[in-house]
Amino acid sequence: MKRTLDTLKVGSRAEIEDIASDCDRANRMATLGFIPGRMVKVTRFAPLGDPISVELDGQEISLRRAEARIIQVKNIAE
Amino acid sequence: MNAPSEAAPKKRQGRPLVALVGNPNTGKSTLFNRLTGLRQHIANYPGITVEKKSGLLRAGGIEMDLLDLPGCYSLTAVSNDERVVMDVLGGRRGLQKPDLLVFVLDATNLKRNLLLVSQCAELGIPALIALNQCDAAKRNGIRIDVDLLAKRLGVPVVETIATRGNGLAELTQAIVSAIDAPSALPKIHWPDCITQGCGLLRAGFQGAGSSDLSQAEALRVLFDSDSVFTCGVSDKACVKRLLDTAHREIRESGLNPGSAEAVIHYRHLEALLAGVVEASGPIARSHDSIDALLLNRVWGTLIFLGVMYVVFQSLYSWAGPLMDLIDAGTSATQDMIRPLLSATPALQSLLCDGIIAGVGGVLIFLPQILILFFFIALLEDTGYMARAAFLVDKLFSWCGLNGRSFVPLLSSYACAIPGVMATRTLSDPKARLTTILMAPFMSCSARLPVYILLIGTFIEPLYGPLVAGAVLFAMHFVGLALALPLAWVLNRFFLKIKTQPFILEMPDYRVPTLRNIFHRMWERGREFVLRAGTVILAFSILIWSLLYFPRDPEVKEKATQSFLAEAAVNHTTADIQSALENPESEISTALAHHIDSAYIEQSYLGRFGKAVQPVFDPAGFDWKITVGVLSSFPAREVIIATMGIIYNLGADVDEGSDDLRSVLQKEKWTSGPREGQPVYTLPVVLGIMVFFALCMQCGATVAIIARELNWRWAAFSFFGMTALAWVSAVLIYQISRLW
Repeated sequence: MKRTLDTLKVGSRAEIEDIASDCDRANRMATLGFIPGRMVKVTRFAPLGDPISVELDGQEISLRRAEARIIQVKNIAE
Repeated sequence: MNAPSEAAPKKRQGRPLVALVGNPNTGKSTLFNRLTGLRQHIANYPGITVEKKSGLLRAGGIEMDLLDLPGCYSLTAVSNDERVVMDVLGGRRGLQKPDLLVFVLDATNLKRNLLLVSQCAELGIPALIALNQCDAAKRNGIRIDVDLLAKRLGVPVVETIATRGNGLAELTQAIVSAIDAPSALPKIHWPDCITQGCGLLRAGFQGAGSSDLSQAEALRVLFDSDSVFTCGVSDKACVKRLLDTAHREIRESGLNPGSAEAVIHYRHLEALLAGVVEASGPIARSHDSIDALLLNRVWGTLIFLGVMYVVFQSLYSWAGPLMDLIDAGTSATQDMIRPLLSATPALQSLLCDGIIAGVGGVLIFLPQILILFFFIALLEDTGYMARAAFLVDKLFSWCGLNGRSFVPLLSSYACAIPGVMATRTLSDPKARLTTILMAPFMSCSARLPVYILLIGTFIEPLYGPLVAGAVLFAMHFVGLALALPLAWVLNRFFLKIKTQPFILEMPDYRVPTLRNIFHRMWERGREFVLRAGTVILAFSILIWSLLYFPRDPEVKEKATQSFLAEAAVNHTTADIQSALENPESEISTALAHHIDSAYIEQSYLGRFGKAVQPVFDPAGFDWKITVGVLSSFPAREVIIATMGIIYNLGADVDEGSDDLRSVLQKEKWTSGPREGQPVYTLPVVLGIMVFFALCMQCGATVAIIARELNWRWAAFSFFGMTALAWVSAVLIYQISRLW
């Protein structure tokens, strides 16, 4: 089964596999740097569990789980 | 450098236009402020409330208009901010196309910053690069070969440190040279499937009879499914068909239409940056350890509460002395002018009670606005604002707001004016709109006197201080408790604006500069006084005239006669005569109050209040409450003074006044089915308080909403809240009668 970014635990690393292409937010996420091949690390969850904060290409970005759900990941190291 | 005559513009009308373009948090606005100083002009773009900041740049003997475009990560034109960038760069909708683009890039994150540059290259506008925050990049161990970067990009690259003003002279020089000898960025080489897709769209749009698409615009349509360029096309099905075909071709070439644009740009940029950027080892990020504390579940939350407590206290309490000072200044000016104009009472009242009171009513908001924007600038410049939004986003996301709504809503508990202005920090137009509409529901400090008067008069004597305190506390949550579900309903069913992903970049922590902070305060303060202030003043004069006119002299005579007849019961005629000769005597003051009360009853607003009393009758309000409620539409705290006048006590009463309290307790219906019964029963008192909690009785808020959104939304908010307030007050009264 395909894993998505929102299912990762804090501290996990993974490689971005793809973005759900039929989603109108895909382009926006991709231009921010969520593109296939890049490594992403989940650094923390907000106190109420959402949004989550990830490290991507040397920057810290926070996104909601709803957005993280459109990013498919592989090679997960938990 | 060329002499001005030689640099004569090539068929250019007016001054050359230079636009600053860049991601948020790059120091673009700081650079703009540095370059233009205070020679700035702030307006709105036609039709949308996005701030247009322009300024004058004088250098090398020529004058240029400098435009500070809203910060954006890419040309994805979904939000109004991004739409403006796209409109300006394309010279659309009557906007002047810039002659030169100055890209302000964050040197610590060059690759992502260059994505926007790479997208803009398609437009073919001459450009140059300001590589900002070079100091931070060096500290992070990032070395950038500037010459090689300039060579690869084909445009000049200047290193700057905007916060310290380093590199400004070089940048200005480069701008002047680029105006004379422009160079453009090389366009990216698109795969065939994308070029074909663009061709298909351009031909299709032409066929659909809409305006022609440029290549750059066709790319936007191709990649942003809800791009603004498709909005103008009536035949949505046709656009969808075209896009489906184009996307199928992209898929068949093995690319994902959702990410293709970014993937191709980043591939191009990685090749371009090879050998340009060198990071020594893993990037040492200064904020990791601070974040571990500030974003910690326990400590982070506590620190957040502490920070917000300070912000709130400063607005709620610390602004008090400054506001008192402005109040005292207003009264002093009134007292100074009043005797000078005693020969012309109408002019005296217009100037003192209309204009001076109105100006004072505008200036009174300034301390809170300045203090709030001091904190907003401080929190944003240090980088904490993004963290704060991260911490509390979940509290708001369910009803269409987001983490950035917190500060505006919290500030609205002190006053909705600075609160509404603070929504500028929300870039998502839907969340911003919703936050603005919710802000007036927060229980602002102007409602407090009304609560204190009514709770102190009716609830405390009956139920003791404990219940009184609990009711006062509860009153502060009535608005919030209704506002959030309303926001949910509004978002779920009515607002047809697309929800945007809430993505926050956690910027590096920085030491803020006082210069920047004061600039923000000055900018907001000036804007409020000049733009919203004029409308608030006009409101205040209008309401004054409704309360003052028609001022029939007969009213005064009748009031005097009836007063003297009443006074004759307890006093001898001689006593009254001698007392009236002394304007300071008790009887003289009482007479003056009596006349004021008669005038207000006979004023246009008073007559209107009596006429619409039946509307408020289902809530148990008599005509006096109704006039009080109506007169407090410009500003709710006015009700106390109006009540003072109506109950013959004069305007100088406050919420703690024993006279006013005892009059209210004794007040009885003088006619109608409830004749002889007390007016202020518990349901009526609760109804009045809930009415004040929910009603938009604040002309200044209406004016500021009109300024930040438009008059339609201001009217929606005004009538919506008023209707809600009325329904709630009626429900309370009617349900209580069923018992």
